[in-house]
Amino acid sequence: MHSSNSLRATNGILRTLKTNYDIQIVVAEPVEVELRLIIKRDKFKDAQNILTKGFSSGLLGVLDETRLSSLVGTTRAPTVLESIENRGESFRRLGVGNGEAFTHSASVELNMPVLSNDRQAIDLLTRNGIALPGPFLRAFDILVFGRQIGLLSDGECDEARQALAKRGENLDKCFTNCSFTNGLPHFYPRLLDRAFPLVGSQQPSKLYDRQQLIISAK
Amino acid sequence: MLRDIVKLSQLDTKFCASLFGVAPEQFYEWLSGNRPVPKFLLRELASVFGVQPMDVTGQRSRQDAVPAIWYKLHSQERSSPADLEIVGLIRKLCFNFSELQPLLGQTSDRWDQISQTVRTQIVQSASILTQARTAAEIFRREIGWEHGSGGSGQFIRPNLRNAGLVIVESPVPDSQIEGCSFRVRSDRDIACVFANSYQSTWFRRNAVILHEVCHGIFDLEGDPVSIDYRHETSDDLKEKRANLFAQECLVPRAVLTHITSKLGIKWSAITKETLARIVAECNVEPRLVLRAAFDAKLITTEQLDTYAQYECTSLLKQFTDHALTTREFLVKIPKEHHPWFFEDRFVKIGNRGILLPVGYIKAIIELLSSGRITSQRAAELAMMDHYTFQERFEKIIPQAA
Repeated sequence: MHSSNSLRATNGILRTLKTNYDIQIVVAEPVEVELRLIIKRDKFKDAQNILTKGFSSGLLGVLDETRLSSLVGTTRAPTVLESIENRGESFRRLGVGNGEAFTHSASVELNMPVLSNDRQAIDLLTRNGIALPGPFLRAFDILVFGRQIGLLSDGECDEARQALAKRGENLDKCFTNCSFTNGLPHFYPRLLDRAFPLVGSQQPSKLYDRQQLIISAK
Repeated sequence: MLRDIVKLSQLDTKFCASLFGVAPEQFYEWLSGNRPVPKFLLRELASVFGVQPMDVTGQRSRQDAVPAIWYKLHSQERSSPADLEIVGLIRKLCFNFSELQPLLGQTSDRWDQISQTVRTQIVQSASILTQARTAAEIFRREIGWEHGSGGSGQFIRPNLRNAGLVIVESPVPDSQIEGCSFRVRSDRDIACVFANSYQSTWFRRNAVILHEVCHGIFDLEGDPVSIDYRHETSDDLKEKRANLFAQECLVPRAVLTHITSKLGIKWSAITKETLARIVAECNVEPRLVLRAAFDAKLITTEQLDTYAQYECTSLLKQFTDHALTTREFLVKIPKEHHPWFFEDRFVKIGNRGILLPVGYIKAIIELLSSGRITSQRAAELAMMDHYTFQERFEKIIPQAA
């Protein structure tokens, strides 16, 4: 599940995740609606092409009945989708934004990790007694993963960091007013490939750091 | 189908896309039927257009049945595209308000109870004057103004909002509408009153709001929307009742006599300055004060004619900030000292703007500050994108961890 628009440096990683790791990034419908609207803003113009290509090439998918069929089977797909929609609606009523509500709902229903920078949504849902499966990946987990597997250099990661900062996105504390290279040793990554040397901090420092997603290429 | 509903409403398609926070191309995909309308937006679309969700998905055919509110708006001689858009915007705000209420622990039932009490306790066969007076008396009691002997202008908005009424005051220069009221169906029914603040004063709008409240209580049973245009004169009994209701709610005899007694002013010797002081206390326009004083037999016809000639606008500014223009107000209270400055509350959807009520934005910020909603949800409720919301209110909202 993906609910961020910081895609510039991540498309290559998304492709790698899909082809080498069999991991498909899927967004809930409200996220797609939001993304398609927000990239029209001047400061997101650079992301427009990437996002459009992402959707048209299938690197990014929209969570619908067809997509669900491949996961849960054709028979169960409509029921599962309805359940995601209903739970998403109930999450929204708890005070969570549309995108996060339906993203977390799908995560609960499918027991899948979530990619979201909205820490407030995770906190609010958890406070309301919702058991979210996690792990909760952030935009920087994708960048750091790209760096770990040698797909991105420090320079490219820093470019992405600067782009995120310029757009007014909330940066992880490690990377606020700090270059990617200097921030990395303090960042505890939640997405790692078990075959590559570890990067970043080895010491969890945040509540949601306790869940890591450790994957292996095919 | 959504396509038919949009067409029948005569709302511009691009405006609709903007209203629902959707890229125009994606909205066209839904209209053309290339992609189904996402379920998460169905309730909102249905609520704003005044139809059922199954009408949007096409499970029920509407054919030529224009949703009543849009039909009424089209059929008005003085109607303009601006009217349609502002009504669309207000309906969206009402939908959002209905989403906000449960988070605030409120229900709109209280407004329904107040309306019901006023409606059932008046005698329908009585004269319009008696109906309006009785209705105003009951209304003041129900809303908690019965003990107040001063002007109620300061309390109108918070009191009515707390009771569950949505009040929108926004400048719409290209609309002839001065005020209107209607209901929006969502999970619960939301009653709404709109007052056009373009070239209007706070004193005038106090009366407009109460006038529309009266329509909302009595006249929306068989009518989807009650509309009042600027400089409109009507002998319609409903209009007379609404005028008298507003007058009796705002300046009943007890308020007039108490204020003049408090200020040591004699009704027989009103000057421009004393009229300005009375207006500042009563919170309504001079002509309404004088009309009410005349009806209460506090002044004679001759005195009414004489006093009505007094021009007291500049004097009024000495006694109340409500008489100041925006520029004058900003000189007195700089923007930095005004947490709910109108520029931050002004939301642009397409080419149309709406000024969100202070109480509404305040409630959103309070929910956000206490961690009961996320910044993203706050932005959605405020009809802004997340980034605009952050830019405008970052000084008063907690930073995300």
